[in-house]
Amino acid sequence: MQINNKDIIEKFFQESVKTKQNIKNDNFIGYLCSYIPEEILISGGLNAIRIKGDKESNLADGYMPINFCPYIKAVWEETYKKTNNLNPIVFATSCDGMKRLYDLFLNYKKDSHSFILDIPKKNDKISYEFFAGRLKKLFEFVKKISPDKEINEYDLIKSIEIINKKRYLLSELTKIYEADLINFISTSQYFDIIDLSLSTNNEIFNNELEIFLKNAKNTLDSDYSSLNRDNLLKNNQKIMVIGNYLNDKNFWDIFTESGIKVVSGDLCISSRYFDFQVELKNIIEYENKENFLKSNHEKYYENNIDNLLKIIAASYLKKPYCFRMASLNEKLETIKNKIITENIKAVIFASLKFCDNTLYFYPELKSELTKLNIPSLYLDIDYGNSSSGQLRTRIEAFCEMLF
Amino acid sequence: MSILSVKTKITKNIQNNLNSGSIKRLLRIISSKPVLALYVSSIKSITDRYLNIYTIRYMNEVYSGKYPVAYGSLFLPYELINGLNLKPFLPEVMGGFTAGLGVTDKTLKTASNKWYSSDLCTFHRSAAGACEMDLFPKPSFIFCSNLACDAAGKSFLNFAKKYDIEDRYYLIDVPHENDNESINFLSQQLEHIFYDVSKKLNKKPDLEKLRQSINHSNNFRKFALEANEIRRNLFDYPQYFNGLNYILPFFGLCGTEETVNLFKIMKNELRDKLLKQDKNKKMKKVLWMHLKPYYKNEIFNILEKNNCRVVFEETSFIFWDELNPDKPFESLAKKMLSNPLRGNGGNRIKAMQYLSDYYDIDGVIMFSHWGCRQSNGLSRLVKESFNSKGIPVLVLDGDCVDINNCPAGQIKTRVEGFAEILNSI
Ligand code: SF4
Ligand code: SF4
Repeated sequence: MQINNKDIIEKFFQESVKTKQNIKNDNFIGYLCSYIPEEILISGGLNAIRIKGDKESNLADGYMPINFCPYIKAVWEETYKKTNNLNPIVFATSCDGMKRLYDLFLNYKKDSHSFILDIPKKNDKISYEFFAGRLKKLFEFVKKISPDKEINEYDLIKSIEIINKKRYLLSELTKIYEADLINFISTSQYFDIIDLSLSTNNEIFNNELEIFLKNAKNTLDSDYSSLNRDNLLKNNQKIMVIGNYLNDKNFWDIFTESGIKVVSGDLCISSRYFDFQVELKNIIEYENKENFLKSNHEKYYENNIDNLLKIIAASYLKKPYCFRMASLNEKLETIKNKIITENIKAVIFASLKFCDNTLYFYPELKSELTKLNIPSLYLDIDYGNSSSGQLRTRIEAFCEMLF
Repeated sequence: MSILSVKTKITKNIQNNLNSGSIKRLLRIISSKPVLALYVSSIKSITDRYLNIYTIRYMNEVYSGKYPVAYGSLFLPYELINGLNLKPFLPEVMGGFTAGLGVTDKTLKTASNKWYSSDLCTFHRSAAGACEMDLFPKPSFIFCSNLACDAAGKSFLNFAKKYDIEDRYYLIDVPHENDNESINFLSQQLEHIFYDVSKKLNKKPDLEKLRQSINHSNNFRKFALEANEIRRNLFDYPQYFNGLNYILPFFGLCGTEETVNLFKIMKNELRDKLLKQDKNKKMKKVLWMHLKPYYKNEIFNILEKNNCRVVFEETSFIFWDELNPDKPFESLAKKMLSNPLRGNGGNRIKAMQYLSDYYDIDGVIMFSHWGCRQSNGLSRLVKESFNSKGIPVLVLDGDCVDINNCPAGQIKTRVEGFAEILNSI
């Protein structure tokens, strides 16, 4: 049955954790949005880390208005405090606040390496083409700051494969977690693993996650065979959480401690991060680096990189939408389908405070949920402050009302 | 009947009969010649008078149901929309109007009942409430862009859903940077809109009409530049003249002949004022950033009383080059991209520094409208950039639309304090 969190991380992800600590003191590339392709960031030999920020944003309050996204403030807190050896950072035009964060960075951290990636809001042909052009600029930036200055298509393909594998494994983890009726993996554990995936070496993490998943499958299969599945299904109460960058252990602990299963509906670190693949099929046949490079490498070099970037561009613009994108109908449909097929009992809409993109989506979502007769709770969250008693009381009261 | 009582009566009438039918009826009555003449008779400035006549008549047309109406956000290339013979209707500007009419308690309440968070910009919240209350005319098309902020792209999508015209909702995605790829990306979008909308209107694409609209825009630009030039030395303004009242023609009605006339009249009136101005008159010159509160307020009077004058507004800045009527889409794309609110905040700061030099500014007021992330997020850098040149900046926290979020006493104290500083320099 359930193993405690320490066990999972210590037993299965030892190397990932160790590497995570080492990377902190090493040269890595930081990034700030799920639309920034990790495969490009790591293609020159650097590790890529999603910046979490320093949640004690006392200093940032002097630089940004009170009503500003707490995640953005936390990032500023962390980066501003670092006086030297600041790692390169890739920003994105995710939202208005993020653009202003980049302004502060340009002004106060002039000597550091940074790049802002312009991400279109639509998923059409001209947007793909435009985005591919922007990814080319990102690629050039990565080349400049990476240990391997000459990144070729082989390196890029390799990176795509690594990140594809990570995405695939995280999707598998999600399937197991969501179908898990005996609480083998708790909500906190599930999000801990995702958090680790954002901040360590990908290959090491992939290996460890693969082993963990095998183990989880075996354990669950043998446990289920001895249990009454129907009873379990009846008792399984699922809540979907929809929101933005909710990556706070305290928040998930509230659910774990209350025995409520969060189905990771739609978050910046869940489906939007890993529920897609960069389709490499039909691009180039290759077996190993030598053979690959011996082939028509010279001739295809520019073109092939451009092609790869186009494919990455299209895949990222098509991935499960973030609220920043233009049309959110598809997203609403996915949410609705999931509610029905997964037998979700209620939805918690949890938004880091002052996130316009998320807040503007809520009226639409709420009206759909009302039509479906699904109760929902709206929470606005202060990043890093989600252990606050009030939040816990509200969540618990909501769940009591439901179950 | 005195003009004041006409105005009060109209406002009361709207407040008590809040629905699009009564707004339509009222507009029909006010825009009739005798009533309109009475309505504008007390307005001293001829430019303001023309603005009122033009706006009321225009709104009457928009509400009449006789023309296809296009909702649009503030920074669109309206030459294109006017060139398509659509009647632009700007929900954000109407959000400002709701403040002027004193109905925001109702519109904002409706918006919160519809789950719009009070953390969002009130221009959009009030517009969303008004739309929900059916106070707006029914749109045939909806256009918006993310040029300054993300709000319009999102709230306008909810309008499109309400009216079930999502296939006629166009978000113009404006890139962060200004380079050839951006120009190309943006012009392709504009071109697509032009042909797609023509098709949906069952009309042959009328490039000639578009060209005409661009020519009007160029003429408006020319007069506005002249008016802006005159303002460099002007203190003695026509009574109640305020550049922030010209948002609708400056943006939404750009590309119409009436806007050309309006700015021609403005240029002439300001020139006459300049010629008659007391040469020795000196006041402290203030540059106004962002928008102003659109309900009755004392800010500008306080400044005036304290020997300060807003001599220029961010929103009156002609930031774009002359457009090429033979390359309409590319020209309009370039116009959008040259907007200082696009891209890094450094663009905006640079533009404000330019204006401050051009108008020899003594101080800057940056109105910090609640919920405007894009603007307020830059206030620290704006402050630092001006302070380093010895120019004081007042970041005035408030709300352009919701009077309850903008305590008059606090505003008064801060504006007076700022004026004192300016006068001591
Ligand atoms: S949570 Fe929202 S406001 Fe914050 S960075 Fe993400 S999109 Fe921007
Ligand atoms: S006031 Fe700010 S947030 Fe509101 S619409 Fe204008 S730019 Fe956007």
